[in-house]
Amino acid sequence: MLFSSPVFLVYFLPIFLGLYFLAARQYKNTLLLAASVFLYSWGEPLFVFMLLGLSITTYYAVNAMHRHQSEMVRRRLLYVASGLCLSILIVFKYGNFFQENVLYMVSSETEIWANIAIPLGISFFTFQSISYVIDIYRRETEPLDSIRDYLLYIFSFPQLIAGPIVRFGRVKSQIEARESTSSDKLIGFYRFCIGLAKKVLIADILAQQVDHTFNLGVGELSTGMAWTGMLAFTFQIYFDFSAYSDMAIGLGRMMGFRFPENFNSPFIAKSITEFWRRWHITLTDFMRDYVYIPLGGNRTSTKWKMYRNLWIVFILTGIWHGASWNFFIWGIYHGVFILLDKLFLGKVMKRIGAMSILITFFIVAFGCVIFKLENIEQLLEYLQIMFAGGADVPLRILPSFLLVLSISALLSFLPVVQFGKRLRDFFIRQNEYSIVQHAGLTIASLIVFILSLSLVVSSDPLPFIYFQF
Amino acid sequence: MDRQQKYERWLVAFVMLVLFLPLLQLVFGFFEAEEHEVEFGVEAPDFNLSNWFSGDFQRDKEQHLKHTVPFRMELVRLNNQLYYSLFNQGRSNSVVVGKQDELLLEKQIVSLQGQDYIGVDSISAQIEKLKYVEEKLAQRGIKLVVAIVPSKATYHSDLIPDWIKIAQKGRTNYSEYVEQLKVNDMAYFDAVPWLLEHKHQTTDRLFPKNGLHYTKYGQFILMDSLTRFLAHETSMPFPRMKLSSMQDASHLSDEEEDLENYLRLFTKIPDEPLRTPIFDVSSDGQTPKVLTIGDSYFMGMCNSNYCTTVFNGGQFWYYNREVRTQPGKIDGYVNQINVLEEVEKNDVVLIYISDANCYRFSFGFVDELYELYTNRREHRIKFYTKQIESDPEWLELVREKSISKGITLTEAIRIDAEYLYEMELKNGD
Repeated sequence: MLFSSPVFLVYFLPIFLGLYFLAARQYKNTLLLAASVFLYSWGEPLFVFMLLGLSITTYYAVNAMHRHQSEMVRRRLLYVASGLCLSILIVFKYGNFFQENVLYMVSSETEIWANIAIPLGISFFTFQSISYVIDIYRRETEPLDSIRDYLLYIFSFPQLIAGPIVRFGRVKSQIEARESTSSDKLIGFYRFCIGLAKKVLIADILAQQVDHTFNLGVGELSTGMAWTGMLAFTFQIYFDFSAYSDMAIGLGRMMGFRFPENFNSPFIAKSITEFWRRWHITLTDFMRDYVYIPLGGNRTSTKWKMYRNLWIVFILTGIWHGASWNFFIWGIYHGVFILLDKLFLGKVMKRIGAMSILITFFIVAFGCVIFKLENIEQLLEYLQIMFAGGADVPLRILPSFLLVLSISALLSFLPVVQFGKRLRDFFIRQNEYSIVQHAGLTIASLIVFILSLSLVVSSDPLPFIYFQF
Repeated sequence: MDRQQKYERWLVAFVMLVLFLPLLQLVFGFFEAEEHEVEFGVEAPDFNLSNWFSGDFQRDKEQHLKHTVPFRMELVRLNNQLYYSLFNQGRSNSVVVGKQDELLLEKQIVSLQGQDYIGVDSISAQIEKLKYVEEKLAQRGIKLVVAIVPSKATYHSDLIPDWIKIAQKGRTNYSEYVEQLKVNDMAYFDAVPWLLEHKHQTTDRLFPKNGLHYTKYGQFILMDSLTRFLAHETSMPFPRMKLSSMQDASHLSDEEEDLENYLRLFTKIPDEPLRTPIFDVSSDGQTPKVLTIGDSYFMGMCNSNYCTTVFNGGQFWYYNREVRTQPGKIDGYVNQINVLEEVEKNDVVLIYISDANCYRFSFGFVDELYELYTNRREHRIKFYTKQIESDPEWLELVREKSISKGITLTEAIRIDAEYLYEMELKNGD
């Protein structure tokens, strides 16, 4: 059940919020957990048992680890608990990829032994579980007293499927005790509607042009169309993914949670290094704290070791997105620019001022083509058409595309200027509003909600791109 | 609680009220909402563990809830209006807003570009059957004629928007059919090149701006030319049509703005005024009776009473399903009549389709007639079997007969159906 589906918006959301707001404080977590498990089992009626079982095992293993004084036992339990979480990710997410490639190497066959279905949100589930295991192992925080609260941390429906990746230490106190004022409920609703509009009124409309372009045969794809497709997909993926984060943050806020921000106007970044500080921030933070720093981070004996660590991080980031070679290449591609930033590009970008925003945007956009096309042959053909010329045919631009592209570009780049920053902060970051502002924002949000609902009722809602990860 | 908090609480209550509005409407029906039909295949699923664990229940339930969501039609119209007003784009029933705001149908554009091409083999097979049927009918003194008229997308191809045009237009079903009809020396009336050639000479619109089908004037032009062609081709005394004047239409019929209705908007799209031809039909005595098997492009002709005034009361088999002769009235259904008997009552059998419908040429009529002529006995027996099975009293009689004879019901039905066929032959029906 997608957040942008009529069933969620018309049935689930009002009933859940109504019950949640009316429930006594001691029942709120139980209600939220029940709703979350129901929602997950709606999409994954079988895998829900596996994830519940795994979560319960992890919880008790971590508790045992926390109680033990012996470092050796604690370390063993750490390996058991984190290994368990990782093995699920490896088996389900990379099982098919491994089979395909091993079979190809051994016998040039392409038919795999067993097609493994990927549970929804498995990557986010794994990372949150690992965060819990490691934070407790490092004694950064105490484990949760109740299994219910741990399951809530893992299964909480706003962010289970596609993030933000909520680090345990950040949310522990909110799980145990939180307040949700009327102002929180309203601000959460505005944020949810911003996300809904980004998804339904922007990303899904851009998706029509993306499909229209990427479904064209090589003979029908001109250079102009290929570049159009790249731009359309770049904005689509940003608005789609950040929409989900907005909706998750908004839903959380309505219930009193303060989930971390996942995006910070990434297209105004002046280098790829800065881009990764603004894009999928919770994944970047996770990789930094749980992979890069344990590998040695910046404090290495030679620079080359630091570069190696960075590459490992970006290759892992790439294949975290999906088990196919294009994600591997995408990880390397970004890793290369991170290294170049460290070597010389960062300094060059600083010197050229605002132009660096445009250059960074296009580096990211080319990366999006790699991200989009899983088939390497198709990817090479597409890049060839982009740079070496394609079919001599007129552009096929959908009537809705240009206006929506312009709006999405405007919204993405507006924070470059002060006015844009203030506007963004007013809608996204401000924590207090006057009553007149509240009234205006409420009306505007309800209009956006109804407009979005009209779109999802009239067509099949498109799943969020990051659901597959 | 301070004033600010009090107002915030009221706003939260207001948001919740709006969120609950569809559910309240579902339970109490406060507002009179536009009714909508629940589409086929979106019935509420039954819950059981098996379809829950397979995910079928959730999928079907979501579809059902989506299609029965309160205020659905209002929301659909809002979405369509948004797309139409902001982007000049149709969102409903594949309506395409063309250049100069001309409304077109996507399916017809797809056909014009050869994207629904069914291949030379299946067209050759259909032509082979058509040829066989033509010979059989000719033996009975009946002329078989095919008429192909341009669809709106073909006629107004210059108004097709660029975004839907494909670079490499493939071979079309229409061009393949015309070529094979020509090679096989069959009687066909191809109005496509003729109308396109004279497009800029017509004084009035052949297609309404917001409609899919021919205007009254377009129908007149086509019928006048068709009867001349039929008279020439069959040497039969077809009526003559003479235009006397053109009259301003006071309002447009639903048919003349059907594409606008398909768009499902809140607002009305401006129309272009149309004129209605006033004409006389004259003949010298008995005129030929014409059976027409056609698509919606002949429906307008039927509604303009051409079946009676020009085709001597000949039936119109709409998509080879409904039997019509009068405007707006269904006389029966093709699967309930003796097809061969009805066909052989006519002087001319006309297959009338738009070029966009060539992918389903004759809608199964030629196949059925071919089968009937090649395996008439079995088909008639099957026809009588169906009649017995669909009549409960008759079936009961046959059941009693089967019990008394000690045979199965199927065998008894077969014996009776065979008997009826023998009687049919004997009576010369």
